[in-house]
Amino acid sequence: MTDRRSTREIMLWVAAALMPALLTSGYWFGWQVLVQATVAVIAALVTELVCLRLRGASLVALGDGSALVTALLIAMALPPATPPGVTVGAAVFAIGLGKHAFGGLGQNLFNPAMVGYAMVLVSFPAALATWPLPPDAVSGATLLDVLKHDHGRTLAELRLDPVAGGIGAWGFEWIAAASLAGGLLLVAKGLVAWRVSIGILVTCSLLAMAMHDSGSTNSLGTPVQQWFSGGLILAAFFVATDPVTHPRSPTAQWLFALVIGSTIMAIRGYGNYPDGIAFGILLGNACAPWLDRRWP
Amino acid sequence: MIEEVSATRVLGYHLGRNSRWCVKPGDPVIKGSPIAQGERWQHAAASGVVTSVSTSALIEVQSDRQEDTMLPLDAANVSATALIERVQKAGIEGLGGAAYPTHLKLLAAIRHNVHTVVINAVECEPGISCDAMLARCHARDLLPALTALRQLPGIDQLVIACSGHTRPGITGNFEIRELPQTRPTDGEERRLLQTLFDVEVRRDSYPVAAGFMVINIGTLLAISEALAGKPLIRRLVTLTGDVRWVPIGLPIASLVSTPLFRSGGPLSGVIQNTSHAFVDKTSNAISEVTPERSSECIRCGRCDESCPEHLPVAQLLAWSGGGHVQQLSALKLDDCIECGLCNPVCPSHIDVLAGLRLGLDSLRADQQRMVVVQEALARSSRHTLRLAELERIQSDRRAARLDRLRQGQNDD
Repeated sequence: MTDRRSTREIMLWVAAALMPALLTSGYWFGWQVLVQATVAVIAALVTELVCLRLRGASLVALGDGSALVTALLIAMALPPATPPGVTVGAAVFAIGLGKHAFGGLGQNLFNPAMVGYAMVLVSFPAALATWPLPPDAVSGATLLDVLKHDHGRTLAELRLDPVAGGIGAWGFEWIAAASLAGGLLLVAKGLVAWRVSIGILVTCSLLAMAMHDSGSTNSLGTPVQQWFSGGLILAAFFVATDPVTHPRSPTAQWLFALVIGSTIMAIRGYGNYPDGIAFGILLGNACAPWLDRRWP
Repeated sequence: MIEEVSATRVLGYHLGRNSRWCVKPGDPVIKGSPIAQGERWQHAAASGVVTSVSTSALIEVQSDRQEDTMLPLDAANVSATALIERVQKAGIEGLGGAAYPTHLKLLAAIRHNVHTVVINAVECEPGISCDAMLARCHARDLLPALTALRQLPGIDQLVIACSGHTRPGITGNFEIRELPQTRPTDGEERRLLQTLFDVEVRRDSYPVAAGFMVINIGTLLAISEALAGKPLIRRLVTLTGDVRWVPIGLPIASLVSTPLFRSGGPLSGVIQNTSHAFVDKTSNAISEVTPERSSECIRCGRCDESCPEHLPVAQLLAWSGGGHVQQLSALKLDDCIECGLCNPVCPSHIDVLAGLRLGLDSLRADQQRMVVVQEALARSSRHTLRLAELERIQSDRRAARLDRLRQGQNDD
């Protein structure tokens, strides 16, 4: 009867499963990543404390681990060279506006981390588009940028460009692999809705295949390149699976994943932002209550 | 043998529906004598003096030597009328927990030509073991009631449904069916009928309408005792794991030391205030409760997965708080069997069932309101019809009188 995980335990597991991806990111992109994560965590916890006080809620909730997960996700979403002020801004927005303005944990309509990230993304688009590149990079842009803007090359040519890394994008592919490992751990422990993760990955793969031409950068590359560039796997296993903001029933979860996956691919293909993760997830979140009601 | 808890200082009773007290403050009562009559009879579980009577009655216990009994009835030759009257006057209600007056169930069974009586001993909630103890210690005492029920008009099958540990060691003119493996909710009567007979009883109907009468094994024992002349003044209660005979009316405070207690099993029980609470006919289990600190719902969906009725529990919980009747009925909260399987899985330690019960209360209140409104509408339309009818009769008479007058003038 007492064999149940507490909410805190679930959150701490999610944070733990994020660690491989965070450390891999530190390895490839430099120690600033870890500083950034620390800044985000402190800012998020302070905001959480202030908001709980203002709401007159019990401060016990400070230890529930949800702010920690939000902060880590923000740190993973922002490029390592982001000015600390922007990181703090994202964390404050995430916890304050994304979570407590809606009534705190469990009441928020949108994923707090993505609210904070989207807020700074639209405010400082240039700063947030600058990701570290391999030392001998030719093009000065990440793989997703190349696929979007640098038309007229073949994928075989692109493979010689250092930004292309081994199978996906330089650096990102290892972070994605580490996220995949952490994500599969969460799925194995039954802590996340696997339908959401799989649904997003499958949707993105199918769309990448549908848009694929005979192998030029006019298309969005191969499904593998899509998976292993940007934060797709991280988002599929750690962000979209936030239980508060995804729908409940299997049908609703598949459709939720479809909305997110197709929005991400649309923005990756035709949008002005480097990646579409945040907007995809926010749009999915907005659909979730309706999906819940339509397919209870 | 099962140990008996004795009545010590005071006993308390709440007045049942459609019943009235038949004692006044100051009246002496002896053990087993009626204190309330009507649809739900109530008897004093010990001798003493009535100290107050309002919506509840209190008896100050004095001595326990005398006992009031009724004439024993011969189970082999008892008529249906005599049995039903005896069951009513012994104050027997469904002891499984629903407390539906058993004589009404018997009457309904005869009216609906019930063909099968099912004795429900499928005690399925972990933490309650009254039925198992009863089957072990009182199996033979069930025989008179079984004999009497078998003789009811129209009954051609008597089945005792049990699980491995609640199997009574008796044989006779009945069948014992053992469920291979019991999970919580298997003993719920609609599910039981589905399992045993592949009969589906809808939520808005009752087993008797489908030809089945389901009687809890504890109620069956009470019927046996009533045939022997003893009214229902004690019941088996699982007290934090131990099964005891407890006098009905005993203050809960003499059984638990916490300010809150759980009435019922660990899953489906209801948490109540200990003060001014008494053991009643529904108290199948009583345990101490220290409330857990709960945190916010994170909509993880574990409750949805746990629900045997496949209800969207998290959504229902959210709507239940504000009593949003429309949404609650659209999401079929009516189908909730209050099994409480959603409680132990909640990572935020929320008492989900208590929340759903708030919603169920508002649904029921709304249904009652609808009944009242419909009755009023029906009355109003009957009234309108009657006025129209009167109008018609009067105008007919007027026409007839005019006719007669005209005829008289013509005659002149």
